[in-house]
Amino acid sequence: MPRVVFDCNVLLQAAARERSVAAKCLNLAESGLIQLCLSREVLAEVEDVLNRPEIRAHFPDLSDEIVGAFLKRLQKLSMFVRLVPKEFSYPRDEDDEPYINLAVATGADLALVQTLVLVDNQRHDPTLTLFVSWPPLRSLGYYSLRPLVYQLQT
Amino acid sequence: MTITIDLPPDVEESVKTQAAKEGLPLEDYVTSLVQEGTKRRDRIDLLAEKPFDEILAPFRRNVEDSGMSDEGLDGLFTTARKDASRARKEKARG
Repeated sequence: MPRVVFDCNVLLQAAARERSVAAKCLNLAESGLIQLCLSREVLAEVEDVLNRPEIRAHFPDLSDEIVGAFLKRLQKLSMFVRLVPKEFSYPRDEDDEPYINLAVATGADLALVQTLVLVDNQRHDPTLTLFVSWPPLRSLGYYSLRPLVYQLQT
Repeated sequence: MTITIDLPPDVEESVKTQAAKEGLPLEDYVTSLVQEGTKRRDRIDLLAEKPFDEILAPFRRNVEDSGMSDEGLDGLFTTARKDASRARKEKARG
């Protein structure tokens, strides 16, 4: 089963929209077709964002219980790493470091991220969610998400 | 059951203030907090046994009803993520 790291935005998109590509990917984890990799740091970031006053103000039905159950189910379904060693530094965007280091620690096959700014400076459609084949630091192969989801489903 | 816990000074102050507001002895107030927290934990555990689609349904209905575009939602999450990051860094700096 492929091991996959989702970044925070992908987890948030998945939580917010049932028909999003991100939610379909999360369903793959729930169906046991992929192994989601998570760390305490990743869950803490998702929790922080979902608990922000501006988010709660927009979505009043997002309760502490929904957030708690979402995080708990994520943890239950995942390969969970409590403390991830810091193997990689990314000063340009320190907030992305935990995801890269998690991928390294779990030997993830894929990282699902929202943009490709991580690996090069070329322009990409920022709304396009992409799988980056792992390890990206060795061979930077990019694939569009939909074909990969299709491959995983079939 | 009797247990002994050391509370940080700010928590101790807050607990004493809240107990006084509620008109409860400190011990009764702390017991009610533990009961409330345990019940909440149980509800979360029960909900977490359900599929994501079920857990998240009320939130997703909220998002749909808001009429927010995908771009708008992304923008909201990105801003919240930056704010949360800034808050974490400020907290870490003390």
